[in-house]
Amino acid sequence: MIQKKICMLGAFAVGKTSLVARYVKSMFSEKYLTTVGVKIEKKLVKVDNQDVMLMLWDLAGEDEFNKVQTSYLRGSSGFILVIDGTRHTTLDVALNLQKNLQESFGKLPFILVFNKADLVNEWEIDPGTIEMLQASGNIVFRSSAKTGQNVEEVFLTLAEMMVK
Amino acid sequence: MSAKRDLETKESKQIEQDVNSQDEFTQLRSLLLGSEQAQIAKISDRLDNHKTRAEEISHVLADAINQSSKRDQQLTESLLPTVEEAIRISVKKDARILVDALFPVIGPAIRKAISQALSGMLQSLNQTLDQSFSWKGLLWRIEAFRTGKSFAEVVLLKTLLYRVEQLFLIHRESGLLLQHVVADLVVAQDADMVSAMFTAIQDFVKDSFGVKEGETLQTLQIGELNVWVEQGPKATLAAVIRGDAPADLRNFFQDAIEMIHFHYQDALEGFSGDASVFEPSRKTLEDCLQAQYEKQTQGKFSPAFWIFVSSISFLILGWSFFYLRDTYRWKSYLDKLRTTNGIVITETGKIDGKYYVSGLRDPLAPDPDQILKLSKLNSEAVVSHWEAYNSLHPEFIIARTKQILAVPSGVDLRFENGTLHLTGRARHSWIKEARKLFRAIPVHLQESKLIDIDLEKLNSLKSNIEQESIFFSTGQSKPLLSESEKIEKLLANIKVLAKEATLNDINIELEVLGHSSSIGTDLLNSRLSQERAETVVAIFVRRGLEPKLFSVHAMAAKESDEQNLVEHNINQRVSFRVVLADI
Ligand SMILES: Nc1nc2c(ncn2[C@@H]2O[C@H](COP(=O)(O)OP(=O)(O)O)[C@@H](O)[C@H]2O)c(=O)[nH]1
Ligand SMILES: [Mg+2]
Repeated sequence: MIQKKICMLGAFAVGKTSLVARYVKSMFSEKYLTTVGVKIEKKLVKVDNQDVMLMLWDLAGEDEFNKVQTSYLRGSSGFILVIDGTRHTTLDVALNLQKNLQESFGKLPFILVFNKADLVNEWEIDPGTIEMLQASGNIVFRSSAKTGQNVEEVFLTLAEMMVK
Repeated sequence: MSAKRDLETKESKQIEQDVNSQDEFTQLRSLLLGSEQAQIAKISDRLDNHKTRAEEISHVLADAINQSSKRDQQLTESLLPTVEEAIRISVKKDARILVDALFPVIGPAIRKAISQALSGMLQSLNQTLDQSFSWKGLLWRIEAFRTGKSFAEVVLLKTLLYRVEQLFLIHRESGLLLQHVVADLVVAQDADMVSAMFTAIQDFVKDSFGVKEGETLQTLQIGELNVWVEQGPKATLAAVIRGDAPADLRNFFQDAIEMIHFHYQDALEGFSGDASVFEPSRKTLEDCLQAQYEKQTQGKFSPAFWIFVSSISFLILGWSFFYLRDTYRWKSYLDKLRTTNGIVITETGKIDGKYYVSGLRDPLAPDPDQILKLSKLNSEAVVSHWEAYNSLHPEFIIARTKQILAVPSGVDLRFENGTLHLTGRARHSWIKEARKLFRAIPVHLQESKLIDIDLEKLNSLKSNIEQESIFFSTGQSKPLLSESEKIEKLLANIKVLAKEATLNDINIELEVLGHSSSIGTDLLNSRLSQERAETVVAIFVRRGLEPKLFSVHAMAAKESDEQNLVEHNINQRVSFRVVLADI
């Protein structure tokens, strides 16, 4: 069995915790999150008939007051950068984070997730921006932790990217 | 071949021809190859000139070393002796330079080593002190005293009461679990989650408290559980320990993590999530579990064992108490027997778990069973055998004499110098009977001081009677009238005497002696004295006394024991003599 560490990253309240909760359907270490700044969940997936254990590190939100502790990011095999479609600033945060990650850890698989797809009418980010990002080689998903749209796909795709 | 030869000859011919045109040729050459010539000159100058070459190499040296180091170790190896020598010379020349350079490194390294050693020592010391004044500590002190070990040694042995329950081998960077071993009977949580959370906590501590790189959380304590962390460069070993483990257990874990780094250097370096390569490390980790188990079982006894030990001690204590108590009682019983007169112990011991005593006992001695009862010994546990004998102890001679003779209350017995003295007063009948039994007494008897009450009385009466005389007128055989009172008194005394004598089985004879004066013929006087005695006897008989009591004796004047009466011619009288027979 292969294990992979994945970090959930993104601005405050974009839906990182909601996505993980939706995906693993467990509440194992909710209580640790606030004190330690990280919540860890795990999920077993199959990639090419091979078991892969995903260890999902859900970090406390990134904003100007609360910097992500980089030590948590070390040893990650991939990242999920979550953006709240209804807030344009969250995309800036995500792209900035991505840039910093690449500087610190080199090229690692990551996915850009535009969350809250169920609120598409309220989106500030226009489809053109997303298509542009996609066109420049980024893996991009529109998801909703509320409806479950694309949630499985996000994690499975990252798992495949990491294993190959 | 021939063509080549032609060409050579042609050339040589031409050189000969050209000797004259040397200058022209030089001119031409400089025109054609001038710049190349200058370059060649410059190159040869670069090669020949030391200074220039050094300057040039200085530009590429760093890059060259860099490349060589990347390629292989050759450069490092070839440089090694030179560098070593350089350091040696440097130290020799001026050690301060190197000391100053190393100071920032050596200081913390030494401090770290010392503080680690001290903290281990303090932990042991604390455990020792902690246990010094507790109840457990007291038991350990007893054990130390009993086994001859030092107290600290015993404490150390006892503090190995811990169990290494789980070991996590964790990839340091990712927090992914590389290996996990669990002791028997321990219920383990989701190991990979624990591993990740543990790493997160480590990171949290590191980030939150601004710990320096390379320094990490070493111990976590949650109630009875301790998590000991051994950090390697690539992997972390976290040991979950229940109870108090001695500090030197850390060495054990350090060895393990070092060994793992040594064996799995490449796997750790290139770890990408596949932990299966670390499977063989399970053995190393399990050894950590097992080694501690052995120590634990050495030091710890189960509660059942303690219950067993304390019951046994209790039994032994109880048994000792009863044993000692009974032994004491047995000894006192024997002592009591030994000091009791009339009892002689010939043999003591134990037979079939029972006390045994045999000996001689005077039937008059106190009953040993009674003494046994007073000793509070269980009479069931004592077997006795007594042979009867007669003790010659004065006490028993006296007792036995009293028994045989039925000594009455007025009589005292005293044993002195081998003779038993009888003193006091006794009835005549008893004395008479006792004398017959004297032979049965095994010692010499002395009874001369024993007073015969009855005989004393008889003798008193006898002397009273014998003192008296009944007087007559001259020539008369009838007592004087004035004598009648005396006669009454005599009569009474004789009656008592007769009665007492009969009671005591003594025969009495009352000799009635008739006397006369010496005037007149002997025949007459003899007849007169006869008549006088007979007259008195007749009076007595008439007054109720038995005739056979009396015997009449005519004493006349001659045989009078009162010669002065005869001389004064007042011997006309009757006197009495009492004879006690069969005393
Ligand atoms: N409508 C909608 N709300 C969402 C979605 N995902 C998260 N939320 C809400 O967004 C808020 C923040 O979510 P949370 O998961 O805590 O964000 P985090 O700070 O990134 O972990 C919560 O109120 C969620 O209910 C979504 O897909 N749709
Ligand atoms: Mg969250």
